[in-house]
Amino acid sequence: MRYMNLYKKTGCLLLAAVILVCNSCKKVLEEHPESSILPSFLATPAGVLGGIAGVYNDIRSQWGTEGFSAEMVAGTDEHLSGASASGIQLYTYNGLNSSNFGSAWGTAFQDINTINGVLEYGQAIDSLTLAPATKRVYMAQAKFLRAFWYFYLVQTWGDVPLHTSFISVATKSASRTPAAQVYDQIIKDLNEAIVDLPNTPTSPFLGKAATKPTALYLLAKVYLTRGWLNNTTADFTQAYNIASSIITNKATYGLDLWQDYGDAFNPANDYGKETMFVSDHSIDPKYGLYNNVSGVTPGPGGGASGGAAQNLTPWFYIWNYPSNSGINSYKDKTTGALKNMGASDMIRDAANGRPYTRTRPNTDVLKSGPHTGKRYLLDEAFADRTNDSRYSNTFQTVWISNTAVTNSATADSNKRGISYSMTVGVDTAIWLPDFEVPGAPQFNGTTPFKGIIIPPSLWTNSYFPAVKKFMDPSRGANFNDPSTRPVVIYRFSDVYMIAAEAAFKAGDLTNAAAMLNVVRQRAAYRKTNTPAQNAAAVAAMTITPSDVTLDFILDERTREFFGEWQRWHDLVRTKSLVRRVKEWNPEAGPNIQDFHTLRPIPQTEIDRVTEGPAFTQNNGY
Amino acid sequence: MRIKGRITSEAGQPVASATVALKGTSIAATTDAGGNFEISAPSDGTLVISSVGITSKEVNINGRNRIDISVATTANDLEQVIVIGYGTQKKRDVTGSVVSVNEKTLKEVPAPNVIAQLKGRTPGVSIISNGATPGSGGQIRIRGNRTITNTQSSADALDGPLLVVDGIPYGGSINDLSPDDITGLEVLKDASATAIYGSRGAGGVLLITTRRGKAGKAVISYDGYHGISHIMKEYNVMNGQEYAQFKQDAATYNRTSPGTSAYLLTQAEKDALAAGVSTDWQKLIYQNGFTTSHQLSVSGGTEATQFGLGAGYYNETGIIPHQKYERYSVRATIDHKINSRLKIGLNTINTLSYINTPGGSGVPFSLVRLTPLASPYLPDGTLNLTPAIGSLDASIISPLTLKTKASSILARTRRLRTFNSVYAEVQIAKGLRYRLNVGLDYRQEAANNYNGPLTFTNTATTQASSNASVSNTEAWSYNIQNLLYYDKTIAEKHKINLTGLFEVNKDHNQASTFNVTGVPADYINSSNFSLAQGQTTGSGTFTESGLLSYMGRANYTYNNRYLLTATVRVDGSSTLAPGYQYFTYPAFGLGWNVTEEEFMQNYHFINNLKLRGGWGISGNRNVAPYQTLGLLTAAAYNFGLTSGGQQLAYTVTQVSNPFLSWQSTSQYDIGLDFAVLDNRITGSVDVYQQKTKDILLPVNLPQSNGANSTVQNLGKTKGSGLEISLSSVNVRATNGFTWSTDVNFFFNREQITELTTPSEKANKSNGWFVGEPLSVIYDYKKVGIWQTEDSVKGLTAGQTSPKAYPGQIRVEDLNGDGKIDANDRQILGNFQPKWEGGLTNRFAYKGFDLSIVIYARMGMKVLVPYLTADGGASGFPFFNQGRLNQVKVNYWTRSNPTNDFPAPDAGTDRLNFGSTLGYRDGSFIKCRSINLGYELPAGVLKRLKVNSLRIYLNATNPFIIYSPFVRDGFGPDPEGNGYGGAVNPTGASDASAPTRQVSVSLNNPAIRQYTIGANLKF
Repeated sequence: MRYMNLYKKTGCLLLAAVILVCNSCKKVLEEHPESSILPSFLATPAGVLGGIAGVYNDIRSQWGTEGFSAEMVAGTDEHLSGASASGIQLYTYNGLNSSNFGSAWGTAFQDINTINGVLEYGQAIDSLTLAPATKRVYMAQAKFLRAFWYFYLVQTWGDVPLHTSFISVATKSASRTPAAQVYDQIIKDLNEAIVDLPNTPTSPFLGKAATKPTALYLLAKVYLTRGWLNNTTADFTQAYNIASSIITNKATYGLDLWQDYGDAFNPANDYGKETMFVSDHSIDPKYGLYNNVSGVTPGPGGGASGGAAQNLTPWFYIWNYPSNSGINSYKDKTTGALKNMGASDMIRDAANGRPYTRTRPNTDVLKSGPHTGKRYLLDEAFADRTNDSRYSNTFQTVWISNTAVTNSATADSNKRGISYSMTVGVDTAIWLPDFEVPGAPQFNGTTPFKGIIIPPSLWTNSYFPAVKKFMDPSRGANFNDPSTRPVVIYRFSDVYMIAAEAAFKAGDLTNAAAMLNVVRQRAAYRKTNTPAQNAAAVAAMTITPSDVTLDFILDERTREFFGEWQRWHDLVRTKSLVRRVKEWNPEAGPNIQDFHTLRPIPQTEIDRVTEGPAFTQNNGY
Repeated sequence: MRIKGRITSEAGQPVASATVALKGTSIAATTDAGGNFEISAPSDGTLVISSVGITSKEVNINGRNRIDISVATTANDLEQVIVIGYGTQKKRDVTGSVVSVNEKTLKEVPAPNVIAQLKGRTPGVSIISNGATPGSGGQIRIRGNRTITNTQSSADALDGPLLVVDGIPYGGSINDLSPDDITGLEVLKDASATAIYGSRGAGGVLLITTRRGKAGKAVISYDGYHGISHIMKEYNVMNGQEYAQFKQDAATYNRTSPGTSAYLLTQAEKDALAAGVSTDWQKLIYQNGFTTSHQLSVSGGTEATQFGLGAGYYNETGIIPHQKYERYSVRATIDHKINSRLKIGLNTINTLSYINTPGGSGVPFSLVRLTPLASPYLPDGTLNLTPAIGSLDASIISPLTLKTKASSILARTRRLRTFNSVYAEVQIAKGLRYRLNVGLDYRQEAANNYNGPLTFTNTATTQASSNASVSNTEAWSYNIQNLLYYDKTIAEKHKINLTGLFEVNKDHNQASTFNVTGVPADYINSSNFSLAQGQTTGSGTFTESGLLSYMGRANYTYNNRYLLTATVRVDGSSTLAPGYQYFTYPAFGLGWNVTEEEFMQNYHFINNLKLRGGWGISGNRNVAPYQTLGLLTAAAYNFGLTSGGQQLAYTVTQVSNPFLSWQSTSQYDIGLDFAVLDNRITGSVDVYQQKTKDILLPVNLPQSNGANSTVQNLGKTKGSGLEISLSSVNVRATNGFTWSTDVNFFFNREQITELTTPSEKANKSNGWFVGEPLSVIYDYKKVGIWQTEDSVKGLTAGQTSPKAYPGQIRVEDLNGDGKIDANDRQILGNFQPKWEGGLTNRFAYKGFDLSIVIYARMGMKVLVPYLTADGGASGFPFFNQGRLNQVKVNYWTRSNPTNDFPAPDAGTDRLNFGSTLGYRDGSFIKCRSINLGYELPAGVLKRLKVNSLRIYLNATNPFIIYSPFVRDGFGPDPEGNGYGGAVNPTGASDASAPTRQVSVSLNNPAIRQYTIGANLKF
């Protein structure tokens, strides 16, 4: 009896359990993600704004990062490989192929699809949820960004897939749209963006996000580029007129040139009047993506090497000054090369940067060709280093001792015959003069030099002037951390350069010279000069219409924009890549061919198109 | 009176866990591991000895107080009851391909978990270690791979077996289960056996049974061992002189700027070279590890109630300082018969484990790289904190800080798990039973990490750069099974069993991680983030998935001769797209006990012959939850520098997937079980073929469509194989000496039969090819090194792109167009062994027993990332560049025109075609363990007042018998110690390095272990 009771009770409990289970059955098959954000979020104002910010964040993952920066400047007349260059194919074109190029391809199209989602979902948000005025600004930002990426794509690869609607379900087919159509879409997007973008950066798009003049600048450059492509004067005229209109309205737009070229690269002026468009960085570990290396806590002191969204720009052009600058270095009699010897006066610090030695200015003496015996940097681009302030504003040639070294008269290879100590912060540890110095490296003439002198004849891929425009002394003790300066993608002086090039191509040499003179006369100014000296320099720098040639414009662009992510596109646009590289670049010249003016479509794209017609590669690859 | 005795088999082996009962009473005892028993019985009584695997025997006591009994093992253990899905069955009646492994076999290899014990022991089960770091698991595959995928995590989820512990599905780490708690396991291999697990069965099922109480006097047992472990071998690195020469050579053969190098010896290194310094960093770090295991258990009970209690402690320290794995376990089982109709029971397994791995598994990577031309200590005897000072890698902090600054490095994971199963069984009517199984599994994992400055794990110099993280993972799952059983025998010949099931399963997983920098002092570690200088950042994940199932099974036996099993299961899963959530899994199996036939009665030498065959469909739904929904990847952006410009940011990275459905595998299997010559030779042979379709395939999409990849039901694969196992008693001498051998031999041949479309024959970006195994090496074929004479003869000039020079890797120009490009890639091999096998020899003489386990995997490739370079995080970033020290290889110089490795080149961090250097023959034959035991004789035991005592000596991984990889000096062990890390084949920047494979990386090297242990019962 007692057992029967228990039996019944247990039976009831079991039955209850079964019923309980059945009630929750259906729910077991429902999904409620709690930790992720779904595409439908783009249909909210926060989603639209977030989508735009997402694209800006992706732009940050390219401009200023290592591989992308090399893609934009390597293999040109300006740049040669540093001793620790990575992706050597970019510098030499030897073996450059579909498998080692194109880091931005996927990012660009991911952004374009995001923008298409923003435009599609955002346009449909009702006016109560999102005020029409705000919506127009959001849509204008999105259109600018779509044009921005397509312009990059079409310059780099030519015909590319053109998408203007949101792709929400996976497809495995893709095809290339003729460049002409892509240009039409870019121009349409920019014209629409110009209408609704504000004159100056306005919340929430602060800093130097896209504004009306940014879109106008891009439009001018698009016309200029398409003009070269099709040789159409109408496009050049458009480019000139738009660029001129920006100059005319520069006060409205809050834009102007700094009086001193160097001030454009002063960290304090990063968001100043000369800056038109940037990708932002900041020390904030979340919004600034300060140190985005997996497994490393975001924040200062990570000593990051590589990683997405990091501004590593300051480091690429720095040779290994702490290791290769032994105080008793000497010139090897047999090889003629600098032999590193003794302790260095330099240790790595924030002021001098982290030595990556990836890229160097083209300083090699040419052994053949039309410019035999010349160095591009010293004898062509920056031939006038007296009147033009840009050489000294671009390159670091002096390193002041930052660690105390005592040199003994009997130290190995100390040819000075004296013992002495370096004074930190006073003595010059390394000097890279832009002229030959007899007695170098240990003597200036016959005078013993406390540090070492490395004149141009001793420059190699390990010894070269460093680029100082992008240096970030704010790193302090964490000098291995990436820079938090913004990467300046568009600078106001380029408006003059676009106008000059457009006028030149439209046959208007007078205006071309006038525009160039604005840039050149500014470059003549030095704070340290007297007014009379400055006036003399301005006069010396001023050119006449007959001076304007394509090569002159290209040299001028080197002087003005050295290292600013433009050179490869500049040369391609002006159809000068192959010629100038053959003339000036001893590493790439022997390998470059005509087809190199378009980049190879990434092999992944070609391999992954498995439905419909095959995706075509650019000729030659 | 008290009666003592010992039960042995005909072969003289002790029979453990046999029941010795007094006939006609409920008095019973159980034999211990030594076969000993003790029972109170009247002197005229009769003892009944029964157990699985032996023929029951009755013995009259006849007044004896010492009775040693030899029993006959049953014909091929046919009466043995084995565990099958959702029930048990006599082995005689099983139609599927099922392998049982008993406790004794498992214990021949002391190991932290059952998977490690199982290595090389069962045909069709392939187990590869994935590291020697304490607490690391292993990769297990039953009958090969089925799923086309490239990532290790998805390959494990999709192709790994389902683990079931006492009837309840078991997720999470196998290390949470102390191997001492396991009494046996069954491996369900073919689909007719696994289809009963429906969508979770395709990778095979491991049914693990844990120890439960038995009626009889309480038995206390203790198992323990202590061991010492040390590395099998160091990685072969260059010494100081060789390193100096190597750097010089890297400059000489610098292709970009001949004669120069950014990585020449520093002044300090030159001085060290002159002073004859050559530091072996590995020697300074590697140490002996110790393993300790103690397990104490008590079990016993009455006919109505049985209990089992156990507590265990396991501690393993690693070969890297301060690395260890520690586990505490407590277990309790109770089974109670409330009345003749109702039975209830509980099994609770609880473990608490700590894993400490400062430096992680990759410490050797850093030891190999570090310059040998630096003294570990300064002249004043203090640690040389920055041995690479002056070089480009000056920031490296001495690995010896792992020892000297141990309190500044914390890498601890604490795991708490409670795995519980409860059941109630009601006899509703004769033959009809209802059973409720409820599984409740809860696990929580907390990780604490801290890296102080100026340590091996954090090279930053300031305290502000210290970093700490804490993470917490909570996972629970419940499983409710409602089972109805009906057993009926009609006319004594027709035996029918029916099983019905309704099951609900839900898994929940939630995790969060928080990081901070600037912990003000090392002793704080990760204990208080509010003290830190930096802001705390964090992240979290949440996933839930549910499974709803119905199953029915019918077993029919005719006259013990003809067997039929038929099952059907329906599974519904939350992770698939609505409308595609349900799938049906049918299966049937047939068996024929040939020996039961009249015509076999004349063949006395055949003791058992059984033919079985089956077909079934099982599946896989292991898609991560929310794959069908699409995804925005979240980031954040600051417009300008002010907080007003801070915005959350999103990009569309995954598009929705409204058609995602089931992957399924159909398989047929034909098997033969046999026993001949008085059961001295027994064995099984199985052949099978399986076909998998609608594979959950991560399809890489053309990036121009905005998303990088998606999961779709595409592709087909097939696999087939042969499995043979043989056991033989070779010698059974009258003096008690026995020698028996277990052999298993098997192979699996897998291949892709269809990719995303029937017309697609190759997916080169992923390295998938129709007709080839599931992962292959697709790359250029290295044919040697360009030699100086090639250049003289003009051969190098024939290669126009990239231009080739003497000393560089020469690859085959497949299409002969003079250009080496993507079109010259070819299939170079795969990771599928030609065959695998295991061999166990056991010897017994008097009280001594000896077992030797050998296993082999032959004819496959392994990936060796550290022999390659791609300049990135994969491979050895600076291999052959001369920047850092590395594994010593035979590299090309003008005076050493080898074809092995190219000339070093200081000018590049990625040698042309460098990936081709990392594919090596991974074949091996290894001795897994040697175990020598001694069972103390009864007389001694009596004085010690214990029932049985066996002491043993064991050597695990004592030696490698054959391995071309080890022979060539590339590493200490070909078996692998990590996943991935391989560089992408040169010329394919896509994710095509087959990272699903275990690779041989510069991780903690394999260890050899010597233990001494005891099994004691009283």
